[in-house]
Amino acid sequence: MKVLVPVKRVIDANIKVRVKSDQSGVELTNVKMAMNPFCEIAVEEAIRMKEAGVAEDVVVVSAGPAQSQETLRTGLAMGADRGILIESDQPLEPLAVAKLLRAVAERESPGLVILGKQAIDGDNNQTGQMLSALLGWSLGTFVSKIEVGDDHYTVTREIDGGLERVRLSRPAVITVDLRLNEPRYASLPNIMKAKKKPIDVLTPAELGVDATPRLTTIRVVEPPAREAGVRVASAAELVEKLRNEAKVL
Amino acid sequence: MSILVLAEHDNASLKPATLNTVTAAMALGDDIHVLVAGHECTDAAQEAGRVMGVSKVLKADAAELAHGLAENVAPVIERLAAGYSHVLAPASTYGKNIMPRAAALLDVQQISDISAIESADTFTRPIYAGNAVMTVQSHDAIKLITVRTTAFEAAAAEGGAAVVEDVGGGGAPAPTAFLGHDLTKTERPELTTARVVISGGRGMQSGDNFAMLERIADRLGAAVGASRAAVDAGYVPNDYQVGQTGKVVAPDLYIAVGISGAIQHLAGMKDSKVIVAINKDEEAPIFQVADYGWVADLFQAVPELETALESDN
Amino acid sequence: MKTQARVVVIGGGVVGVSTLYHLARKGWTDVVLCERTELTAGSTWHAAGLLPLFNMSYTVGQLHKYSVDLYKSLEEETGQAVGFHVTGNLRLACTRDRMDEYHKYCGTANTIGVPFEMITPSEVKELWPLCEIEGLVGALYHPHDGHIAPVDLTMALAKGARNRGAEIYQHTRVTAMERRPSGEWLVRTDKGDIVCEHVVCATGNYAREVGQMVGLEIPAIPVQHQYIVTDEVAELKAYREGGGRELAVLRESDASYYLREERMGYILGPYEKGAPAVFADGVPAAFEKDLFPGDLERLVPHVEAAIRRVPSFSSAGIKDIVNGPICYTPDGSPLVGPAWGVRNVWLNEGHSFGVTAAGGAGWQLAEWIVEGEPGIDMLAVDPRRFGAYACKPYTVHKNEEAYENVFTVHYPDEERPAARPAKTSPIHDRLDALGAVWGQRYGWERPNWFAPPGVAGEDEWSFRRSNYFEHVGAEHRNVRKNVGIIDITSFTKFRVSGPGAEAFLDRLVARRLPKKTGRIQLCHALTIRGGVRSEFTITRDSDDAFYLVSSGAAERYDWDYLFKRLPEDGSVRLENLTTSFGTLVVAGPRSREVLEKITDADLSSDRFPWLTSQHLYVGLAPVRAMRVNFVGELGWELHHPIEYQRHIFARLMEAGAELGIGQCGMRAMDSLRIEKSYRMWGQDLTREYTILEAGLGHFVHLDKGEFVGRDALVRQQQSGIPRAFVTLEVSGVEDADPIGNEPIWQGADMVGRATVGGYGYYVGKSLALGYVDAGAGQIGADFEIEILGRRYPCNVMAESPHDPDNERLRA
Repeated sequence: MKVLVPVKRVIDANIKVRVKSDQSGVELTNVKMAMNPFCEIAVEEAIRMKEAGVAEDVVVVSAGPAQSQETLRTGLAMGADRGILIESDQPLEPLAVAKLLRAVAERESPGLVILGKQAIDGDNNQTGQMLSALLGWSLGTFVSKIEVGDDHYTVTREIDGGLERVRLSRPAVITVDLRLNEPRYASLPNIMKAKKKPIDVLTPAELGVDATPRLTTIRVVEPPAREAGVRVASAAELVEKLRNEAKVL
Repeated sequence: MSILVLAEHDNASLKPATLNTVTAAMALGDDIHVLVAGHECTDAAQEAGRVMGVSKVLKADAAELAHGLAENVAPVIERLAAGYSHVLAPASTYGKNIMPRAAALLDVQQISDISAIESADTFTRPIYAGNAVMTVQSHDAIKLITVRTTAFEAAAAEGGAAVVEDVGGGGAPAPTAFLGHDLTKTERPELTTARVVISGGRGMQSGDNFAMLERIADRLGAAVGASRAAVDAGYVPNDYQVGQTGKVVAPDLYIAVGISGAIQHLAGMKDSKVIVAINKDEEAPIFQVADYGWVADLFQAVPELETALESDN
Repeated sequence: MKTQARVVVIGGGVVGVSTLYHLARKGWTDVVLCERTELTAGSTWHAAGLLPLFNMSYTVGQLHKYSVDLYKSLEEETGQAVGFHVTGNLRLACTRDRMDEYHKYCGTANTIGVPFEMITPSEVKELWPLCEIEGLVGALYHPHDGHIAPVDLTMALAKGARNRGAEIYQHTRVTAMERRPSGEWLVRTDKGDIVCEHVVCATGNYAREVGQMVGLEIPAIPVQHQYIVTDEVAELKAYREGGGRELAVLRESDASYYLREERMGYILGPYEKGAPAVFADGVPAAFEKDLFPGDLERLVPHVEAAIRRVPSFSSAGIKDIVNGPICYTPDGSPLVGPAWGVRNVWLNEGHSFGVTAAGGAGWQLAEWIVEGEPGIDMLAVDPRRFGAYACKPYTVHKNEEAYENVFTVHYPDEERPAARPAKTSPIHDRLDALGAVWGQRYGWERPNWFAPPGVAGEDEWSFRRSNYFEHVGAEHRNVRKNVGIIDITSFTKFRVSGPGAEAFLDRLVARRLPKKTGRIQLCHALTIRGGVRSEFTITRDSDDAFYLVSSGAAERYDWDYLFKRLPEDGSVRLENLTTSFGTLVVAGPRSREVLEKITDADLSSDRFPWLTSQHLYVGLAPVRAMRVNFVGELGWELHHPIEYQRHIFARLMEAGAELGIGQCGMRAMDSLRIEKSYRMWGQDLTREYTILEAGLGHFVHLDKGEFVGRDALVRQQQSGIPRAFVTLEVSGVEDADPIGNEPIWQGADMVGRATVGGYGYYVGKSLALGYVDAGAGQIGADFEIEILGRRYPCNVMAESPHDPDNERLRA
């Protein structure tokens, strides 16, 4: 079985993002970038499937600027077999990405597309669901456990208030949540090996996809600053404030 | 034009998130319809009809809709959407699962998790885990939206008198089967996903003292974390570490106990919604980011907190 | 916030906070610190926390030793733990040169009391079982240091400072500094203004911006430093869970990396080629607690080397690459001490090993501010050791070079290539054509030696006698036998004039000024403790004008000292003539014959005696001829308008052709002066030893009236002079002469240290100069000197092995 893992290049999760002063977006120049953490989990799961003998071929695919190659290399260093870059300098919205991925999925015919439930930049949480709709495939979102059957997957989904188990027929789209696994870090020898693995570069035009954005960004601003905290003098006061003021209890 | 709200429900009753979503819809128009897609969901549909501001309830009642699978619900939305300017759902796991699938069927770029409405086509939403706020304008004919429910008040659950209209089922059976629920959790949640985190620092003085935090964690359904100093000192295992080189968390409530607040630690938790700091050092940097700071000896404060939480229930 | 304080420290990194702490410990409790964001936010927070005692520098080594001792006591003092893991530091050696370096270091370490062990490869394996020992020659092990949590350390120092009354203002950005007519400083911040007596800049990445507030161009620019943090490593985990002790910090210097444990994984920090300097034009406003993208590509060779040495690293998942700005200076040592040209502004900047240096640097700077003098010789870190040549582009090139050389062997004779040539004398190309092999000091190109025709003009750097040994010897002997030319254009030249000039200078030096016009005296400016601060060759030009010559490297240092003490009434004028005048030395028994061919002046000793100066013409060039030199021969220093240098050089070469004139480089000048027991400022003469200890009592006139340092000398004369300056003949040397910082032993007791050494080519002896305990230093006394790990017998000779009665000088 072939597994397709879409991955995204985002600002490193440990970096504080800064809004540009012209409000056009967040500063990306000279900022440390990394693979979206949810994508890492998806890659890890695919590699584990390969290591368990239920997948033969793990293909990482990314849509974005040329530098997304670095993100693909990260996936290859973790253990993926080859990469596909859909190169585009214009911003890609989830619907466009889903269309691009559909085109790739139609070429590659994977038994599974596994991807992060959301990217930590736009926090959209859409691409996997949209892709499943465009392909007409079974969908399992926010998945924390996967059992691979002969012609199906039994997955555990993290839903508000608990867990849900569903059976997806193959091929399927699965979006992963944090608890699915703890992704590995690539070792240096594997990073070096990854440099020799193939990456195909495609464009939206070659895939026949119109990736024009549907949304216009009006502005991006800083969130309101955290208000100065208050001091409390007793446990009772603290609990009262947490319950009635902050409403977190 | 009318606004359609996708109700979240368990067939018997509405989930409260639906009420917040109705309020968001009211900011866009006054003819608000609620879609209740389920099986044997008449009770939920009638409850929706009583919500203030709702003018019509669309009940899609079919066996394949019983568990709200996206593969089945999305086609219902697709079929009905043509008559609406906006389709809204709560940004819960229910709404987040279904709406993008519907959006793709309609060839619409959904707008996720909105926190404010500027106009009929312009919406505000947090990005980068709330570290930036983006305002976007949609050019799609129909706007599909999920709503951050904490940003909108709940509509009144009673007072409305909307009619309930049957709109049929979801069409072809999906290639997906519901197997079961497991809504009870026995173990403490994971640090990175917990709604509440309580962390201890070097001030805990020993690993045994973390039992104090664990008791509170069990009471609050919280995960237990630690600062690098506490991990370094061997009080708790490595995977407890919150911070730049450990785990990054952003729970609703973060309680830092005996943690001074080194930048490395703050980097791992400062996106938490509410931060509580308990530390005997008044100058500890943690107080600069804490919403509630309690200058106290943790060995007195933590047992007091436990007692206060007990009597609070 | 206070509006008035004795000291404002700018910068809340570990260095600034340590300075604040030590000021408070010294009893200055009315001190405050302004931090633009939060404590540690600049470079401290991402520092790897290494705490190595190892440092090749005598000064910096003492600072590090103090830090390690202090940090061990901080938790007890403040209640704030600092995460000090006393794992030890292990430095591997794969080559003989590296072992030489370690042995050289061990000598220095012995002189400052740092404990260490030299161990064998199999002992390395015992200490570090996960390490392969193939290719190792040995290792240097410090058992008592390790690594520390930089943020916790800063917080502990902050607590200690606050406990003593100091105040810390975070989120308080200094925007300007203004000097008030009263001499106080007005520090403007975005939270209000503070008037203070002293300002300390400890601003790390912001050093240049803050320096510009008071008109200084500070040669501190950060360089990107990366370290790799790995995931848990199974082998390491098994070792530790099996009861293995925490591994020492491992440094494979020959592969340029450090490696330490971090939570069952490793931290690997290479010092690689190609790391760029950053923030040369200031830190972007948006850069706060930020890091740069990692560049693994640059690190690959080092990681591969680490994998060969520690095979378990190959399976280690690379979790993160922390790439942050770390400050550097052109020579890699920090800037600790007074700012130049402005009063009561102090620098604690340019720290590339800030966590290790912070304790010691704060301690000595506080002592300097509070007591007026540091307790140890701080010349190696004095901010005034750099001049205007250390401008932005120079600093960028040199700092990048310093970074990539952190772990290369630090040869005593190394001359690194970046940012060269910068300053040259007009005959640079002439000397180049004559085979000059160049070195750089204070931005100046100076010939170290001259490669004869057919000999490659390249150094083979070494701790031992090297390829240039014989050629330097030939230059040396030619000066003793015939005549040599030495280009010392880089020397510092000042003119001090005006009605107050004599009184001004007299107050600053220990000796009476020359009385007659044209007379020359070697004079020393002392510290208040009687140590040697500066050395000037002073010529009286008239009743109220003096010509001062001092070391080339002391230009800014000496200028600053004189400038800050100028009387405010304008009665003294200070001019810097360094770059307007060149200087060529003509020295050797035939120097008179050479000069007589090209000048009509009478050069006989009757008409032109030793230690006098005259204006004359050499060819067409007006020259100030001074009958002094640093090589102990008949000779003249020819100071001339710089534009005449090529003319003079050409005349000298023509005139000297048949008299055997040759060039003499800096290395030969050094061996020549050692044969004469001439003390070199900054090396043999430092503030750590009084001028009496230096054996220069005859250069002191205690009866002349008040001068700086006099009281201390009087007290020392009464209580006894603890140390004696000696000239030692070293026996049994085969290929490694002493070069300085060697311990001198008497049995098991260390009785002193050499400050310099070398081979006396003319007297045919290996020589050392240095200090020993006064009681031990009689002529004929036998000691042992430790050179590169071996002890050699040596004995005290009478001063000046060559021409002890100065007959040649007076000839």
